[in-house]
Amino acid sequence: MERILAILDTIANKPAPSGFELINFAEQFADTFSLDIQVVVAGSSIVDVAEKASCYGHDVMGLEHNSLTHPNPDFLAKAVIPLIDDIKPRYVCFQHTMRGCQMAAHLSARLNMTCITAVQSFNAVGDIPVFRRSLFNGKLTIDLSPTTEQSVLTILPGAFAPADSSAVPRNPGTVVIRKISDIDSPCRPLSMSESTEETVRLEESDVIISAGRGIGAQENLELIREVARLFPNSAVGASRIICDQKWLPYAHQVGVTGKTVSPRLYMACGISGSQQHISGMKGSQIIVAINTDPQAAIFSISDYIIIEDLKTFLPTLMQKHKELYK
Amino acid sequence: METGCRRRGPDDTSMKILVCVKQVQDTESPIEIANGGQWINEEGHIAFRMNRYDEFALEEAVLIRESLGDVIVDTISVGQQRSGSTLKKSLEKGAANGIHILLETTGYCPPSLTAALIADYARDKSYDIILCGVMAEDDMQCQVGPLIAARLGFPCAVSVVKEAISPDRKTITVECELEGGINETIALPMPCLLTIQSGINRPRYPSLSNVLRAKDQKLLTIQANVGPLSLKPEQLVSISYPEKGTKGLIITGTAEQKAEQLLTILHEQSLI
Ligand SMILES: Cc1cc2nc3c(=O)[nH]c(=O)nc-3n(C[C@H](O)[C@H](O)[C@H](O)COP(=O)(O)OP(=O)(O)OC[C@H]3O[C@@H](n4cnc5c(N)ncnc54)[C@H](O)[C@@H]3O)c2cc1C
Ligand SMILES: Nc1ncnc2c1ncn2[C@@H]1O[C@H](COP(=O)(O)O)[C@@H](O)[C@H]1O
Repeated sequence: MERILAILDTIANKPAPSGFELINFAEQFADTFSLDIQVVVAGSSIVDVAEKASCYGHDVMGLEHNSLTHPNPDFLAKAVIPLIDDIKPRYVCFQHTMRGCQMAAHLSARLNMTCITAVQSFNAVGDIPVFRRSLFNGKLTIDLSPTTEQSVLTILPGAFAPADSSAVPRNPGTVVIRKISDIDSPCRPLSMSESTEETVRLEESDVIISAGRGIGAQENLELIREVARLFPNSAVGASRIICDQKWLPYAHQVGVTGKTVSPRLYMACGISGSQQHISGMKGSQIIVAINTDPQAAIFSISDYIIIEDLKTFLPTLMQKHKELYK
Repeated sequence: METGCRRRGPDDTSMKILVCVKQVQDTESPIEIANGGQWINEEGHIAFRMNRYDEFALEEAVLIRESLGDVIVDTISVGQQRSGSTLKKSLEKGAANGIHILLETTGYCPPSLTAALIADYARDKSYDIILCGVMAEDDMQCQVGPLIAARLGFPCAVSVVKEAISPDRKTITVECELEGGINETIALPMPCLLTIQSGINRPRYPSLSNVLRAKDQKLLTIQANVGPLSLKPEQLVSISYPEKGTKGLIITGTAEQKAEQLLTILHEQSLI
């Protein structure tokens, strides 16, 4: 049977947060197109992760090399080329993280394979897969098909739930650990560091009022703060753009490269709803979005949609609150 | 000799940086499907501008020039006639030369094509560093940078939030952003390619002298030569509007009425 190679994302010999979602995608895809799944994990000491991954019932290959302690996509992409030459998978898939994208690009350029990125879902038209992803910040979706015998995919984190190894009883797959011989990769990972600056505990707040670029000016953060003060145990969150401009410290940032939160209420003010932001707050119980653009992607995941200019709407909201609840 | 092409002698320590800048439609512009579901309507009310991540990449190149001195910063863009205005903007922001790879076709442009065209241009120009944005805001492929690197055999680091060039100008040490506040430090030899993440710097506004210079300066325009590239890119099937989320309630009325309704809802949920 033809194969799909699922290359899981690992950081410092641990699976990345969205790592096992890729197995779920591979299973659904393999079901539709009658493929075998081969899982690959890589690191400097990867037996534990390989065994964990094998619980899903698929064969796992662990690639080991000292250069893979920290993420080293340049090295790993080069290391899987011989593997692809060897087992000739029909599809190779990665998570759509920055590292996954880098490896996918490297393979597609070196092996002349079609590459389709940020896949959210797929369909079969005859025996040809059609992959769906979003375009223009979620305002449109685009369907793409590969044109080569072998192709590379990156799967959007959050699009598929993590696979559940206990759902059906499965026999663990076989685990093979392969030591990689030296590879000509000039990138040298030196260290990893975690941001220690901590000014707000977003994860512990019941209510998060978040500011995006739509607030227009730093002064308007005061509007957001005032609304937040209406609620007990509330905090101010932000999109990346706000933190990049240092309008708020990094600890307020919500999204893939910030905090993942699930408060009782998340109010997105002037936030467009990029995938990177949504992935950090879509688990919120109630989502309210205020935006001037009726096409904004944030509305597609919102419970309550308010098409208004926040600079006039938030003061109105404060005023009404004073009239009605004080 | 072709413009921009320069072979260096052993004592030549000057540096050349190429910044890839993409013109994108402003994400707030209304977007409507056209061409029978094959692309969007680009006429009329759509505003075009430089991809924001590329502004950070360009600023970083200019900062390197300001700290090292003898550095040439060029910008390159693949696209239709209108991309010229984004290259002009890059001159206003401090680039020395703007290179326009003119690709007249409209519609979906696969990253492999863009990357092949840029790599072909850059191959014999001895750039020390190529900078890209971490992604294009319109198609979010995160591919063009690492594709160019693979085609040129350059080492590559992505999502860079800090960089430092060694005194001998042979290596560059970068901090790459992973997820959730973790950064990784990587050293790589030059020539290399980096993709730049937002927040690495604060892109400047154009200075008056650069605006005046840019006005008179010609771009180097090269017709894209797609024929010999033998690429097999993904094929567009169709474009559609996303399925409307079924759960969302649009709150209607005047602003006052909307505010009242929202407060009522929040009250009912015992949030206030
Ligand atoms: C690798 C990577 C990681 C990233 N990680 C994150 C992350 O962790 N978190 C994050 O947030 N982003 C992240 N981003 C950035 C992300 O892609 C978007 O650029 C960002 O989320 C956009 O922020 P925004 O919605 O505030 O701004 P925009 O997308 O510019 O949206 C502004 C919105 O405000 C609306 N608006 C304008 N004026 C008004 C007004 N007066 N009233 C009401 N609405 C108004 C507009 O219609 C628009 O929808 C990441 C990007 C990359 C490449
Ligand atoms: N048409 C283009 N012209 C010049 N540079 C581009 C073009 N498309 C993409 N890039 C560069 O590649 C980066 C990533 O784009 P993408 O791979 O499309 O997400 C952008 O930030 C640009 O630096």
